[in-house]
Amino acid sequence: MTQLDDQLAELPYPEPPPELSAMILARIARIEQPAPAAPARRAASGWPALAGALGAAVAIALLVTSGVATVNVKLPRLGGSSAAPAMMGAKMMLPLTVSLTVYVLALLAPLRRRAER
Amino acid sequence: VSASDGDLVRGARRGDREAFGQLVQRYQRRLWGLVLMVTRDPGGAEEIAQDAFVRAYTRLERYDAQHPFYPWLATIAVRLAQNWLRDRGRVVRHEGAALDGEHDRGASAEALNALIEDERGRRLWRAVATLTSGERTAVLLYYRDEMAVADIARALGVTRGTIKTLLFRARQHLRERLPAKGSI
Repeated sequence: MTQLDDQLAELPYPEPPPELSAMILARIARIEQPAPAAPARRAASGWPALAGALGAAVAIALLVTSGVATVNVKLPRLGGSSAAPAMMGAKMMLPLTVSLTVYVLALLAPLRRRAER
Repeated sequence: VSASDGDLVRGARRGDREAFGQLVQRYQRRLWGLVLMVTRDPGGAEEIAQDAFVRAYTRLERYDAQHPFYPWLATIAVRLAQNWLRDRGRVVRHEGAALDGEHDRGASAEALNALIEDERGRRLWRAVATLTSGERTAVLLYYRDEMAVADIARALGVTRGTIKTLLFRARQHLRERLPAKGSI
């Protein structure tokens, strides 16, 4: 060790700003705060979209497979009959109602959440 | 008995913010001195010291507990300081020129004087402040923070040879500027 080395090893440590550690910990706290809330919010906002899409898909599938959509849309223009609903069996009505209900509930979910807040 | 760095890091990894707070208390002065000397700007140094600790906290998983904590933290801080200097067009060219930027001597001498109380310490800091940013960083990490040449090279992103050259040049320059120990 030379004299210069000794001097450099003794370089003093200046005092940091008094609020430095508090600022650091506050920033860390800020980073951590939204973290647990974010997944919950995402989960909450995720289900209506999924349920809505599922409900709509089931309803459309039922309408298409039962042939009601084509009958209802096209026939009245051609002066068709109102017997279309009769084509849909009672078995179809229940799943169709359930899927449409899920779809509507999912559509209204954001409004309900806002009202609860 | 105070907890070891390893214990505090383990605690912080489990989400114990108090454990990390102890690490901040333990190293803030050392880190602040380092970034202050590298940037020679108290405002910039405060910003970088904060960023370095926050970044260390968010990247604790990457820290290898087999090695001491401070060199890892200092590496983060030095890289942030280099970016800070580069953003302001103050120095830092790599390899070849080896971090050997212009000597923007005495830019914040007054600010540094206000932060160091004794005259001897002030002279020493003033002399080191006249070195290039690369030389300053190497001197602080090597002499004051007692980091190995290999660790300093990793922190600065250069070779060991470059660090040795920086230290050699710094010593040469400081020998001209600093009076003998007894006379300070």
